Amino acid sequence: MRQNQMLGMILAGGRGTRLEELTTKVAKPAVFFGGKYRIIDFPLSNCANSGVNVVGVLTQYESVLLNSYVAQDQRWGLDAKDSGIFVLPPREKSDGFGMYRGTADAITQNIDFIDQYNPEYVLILSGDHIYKMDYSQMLAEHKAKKADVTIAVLEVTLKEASRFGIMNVDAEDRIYEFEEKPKQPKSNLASMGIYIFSWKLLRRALLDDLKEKDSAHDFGKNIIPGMLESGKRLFAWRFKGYWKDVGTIDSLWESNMDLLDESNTLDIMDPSWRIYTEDVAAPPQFIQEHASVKRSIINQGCVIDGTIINSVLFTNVVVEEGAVVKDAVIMPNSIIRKGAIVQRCIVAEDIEIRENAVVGDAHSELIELVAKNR
Amino acid sequence: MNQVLGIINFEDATVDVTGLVNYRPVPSLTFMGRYRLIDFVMSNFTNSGISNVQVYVKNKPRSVYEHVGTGRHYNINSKQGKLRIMHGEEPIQSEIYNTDINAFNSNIQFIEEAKAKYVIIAPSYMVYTIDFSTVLASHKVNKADITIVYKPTEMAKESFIGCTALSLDKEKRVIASEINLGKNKSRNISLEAYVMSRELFLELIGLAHKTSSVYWLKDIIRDNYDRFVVKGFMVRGLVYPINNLAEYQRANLELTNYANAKQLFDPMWPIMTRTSDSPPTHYGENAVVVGSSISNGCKIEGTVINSVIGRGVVIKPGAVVINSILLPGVIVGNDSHLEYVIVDKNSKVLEVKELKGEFRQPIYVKRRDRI
Repeated sequence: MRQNQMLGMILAGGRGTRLEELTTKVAKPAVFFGGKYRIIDFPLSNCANSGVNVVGVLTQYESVLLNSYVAQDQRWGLDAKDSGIFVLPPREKSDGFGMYRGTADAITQNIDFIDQYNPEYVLILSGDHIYKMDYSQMLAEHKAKKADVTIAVLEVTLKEASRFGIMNVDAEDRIYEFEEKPKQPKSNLASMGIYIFSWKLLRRALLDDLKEKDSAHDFGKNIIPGMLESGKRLFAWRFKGYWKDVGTIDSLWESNMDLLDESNTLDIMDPSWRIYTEDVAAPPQFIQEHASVKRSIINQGCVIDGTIINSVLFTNVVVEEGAVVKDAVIMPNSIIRKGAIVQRCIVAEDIEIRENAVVGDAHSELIELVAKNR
Repeated sequence: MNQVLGIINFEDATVDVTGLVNYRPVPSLTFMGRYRLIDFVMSNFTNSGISNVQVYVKNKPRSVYEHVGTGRHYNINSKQGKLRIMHGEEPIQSEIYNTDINAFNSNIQFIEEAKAKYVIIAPSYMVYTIDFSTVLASHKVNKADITIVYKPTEMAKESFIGCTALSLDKEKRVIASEINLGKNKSRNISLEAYVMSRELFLELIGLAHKTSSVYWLKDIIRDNYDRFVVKGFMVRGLVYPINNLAEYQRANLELTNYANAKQLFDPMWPIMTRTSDSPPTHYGENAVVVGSSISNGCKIEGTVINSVIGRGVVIKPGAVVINSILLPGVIVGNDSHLEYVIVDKNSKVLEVKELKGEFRQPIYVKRRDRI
């Protein structure tokens, strides 16, 4: 069968300002998650596991690390003959330099890339979200309903609904109205920012949108409402499972902590839907004679001689004798020296916490980000 | 180092890791929970800048093919470099003929055609790190015909049994050798890693073949210490010979101590392996883990003391694992107590509640077993 019927396009240009220093030098999709991964590993692995073999990654903000990271497409097994991950940052064109002005504009500026593959469908994803999803099931539904657009939706509480783009649907889940952050939501179906479009239709809509002077060139604000207005067939596809937009330090910490709960629905241990990532040449983890490790997730290369409780430790973290790490997320290559106490915080990568230092506050409401040596 | 052809040789009958080798050849033995033995010699080669490598496999090549693949994960350049897996092309009448010389002979055109000026030959059962570029440099400075890498040890009574012990003169010239039978404490042990010109290597293969059809490379070198200048190159760091189950156990257990392990796992000299995409390891509420080396993908809810835990191992609540080595995919059920046990891949210890071996005499549980 001809491959690449559906092309994946991941919007990965966002800055993630609310992640503070974690995104000073890297874009949000490259932020670390879950002891081993970067956020973008989730949509990329979902693509690989769903048989979406050609993926464009649209980057813009601080993209050097992200670009080089995703370009190593063998990490996700997307290095076969007709597969690939293609980094698509803004480029200079004959009519000037084209920054991506909105989510839709990022796709419009890469119509030439998509046309090379002449796909039937295009899958639009965000590089900012943590979830596992089989896009091939969503595509099957898209075809079965003869939809023009299928939008993945999550059932949220009505209270939360006013933070999301909400889809109002009929009994067949056909969308008749889209409301961005409604004060009085009529439904609890939140858009996950995951769209399948029939490419011919999207291509036309993007080119039309390009001509609109006051358009924000955004999927949520312009493309989707425009298609609704012109009577296209838009359907909601209900997703059940773990999904999180880790937009803030608090939510990043929280979703790392979610993994410690054995009944968490993300289940990164599931061998049937592996999340792939960088292959680092670190040795196994060494849990030494003074160590105590409870209810935690630890990655390879760590050397632990202290006490670890309720925490997530990334690659090559060192925790020396007598140090205590509690309710914390410690990113790669950081060192917690003897007797230090680190709690209820995120320690960024390559940080050293000196002997006997006390970092974080067990009773604080907000989670502290430790981005400098202490 | 692009003038060097790296050859990973196979071992003779002195290497017998009982049990484990029933299922895979020595290069494929799991080591420290996430490596296979061949990773050490492969990483030594590629870290030294050698990107043309031939791997000779004695038997059961499937796991070697799968693990080594194209060599990309060892940094072998897919266009400039080449990784070849070689096995005997002719049927073997009897295991005594399954020698390295016969394997080289049946693949001789690939040694003849190689453009390399030098060959470096090393086995996979010796675990250590070495920069072969310094060995080659010393080989050239010494104007040696053959350079043999060796390790001086004070443990020759209990370790390195069956290995070749070298006698060296003041200039480090090898003058004699014998098999270490454990009589003396101090020995200079040959690590069976040799540097020589490709030309001499071809000559030795021919010579060995003419002398005896069951000769090994080390036999023909031994016969010619007076004819060629054979020099020793000493290594100082940790060396573990994995030539029997007791040594396999000792090496793994000693390396659970990070003070030892950090001598072998230098970030500037990475030991590379094939990724298994395992998630990080999950430690439960009641886990007790000390003095151990743990791989990724495990779920640990019981007690683990001074042990090596392979990828994807599950240790249920109440289970106690002491001084043991669990290969990838093992499950230890509730309240099972293991001490000095080696459990092979994907086995389940569920019904047996107590298994107790000893240091140097581990109990071995076979692959995919259920006990």
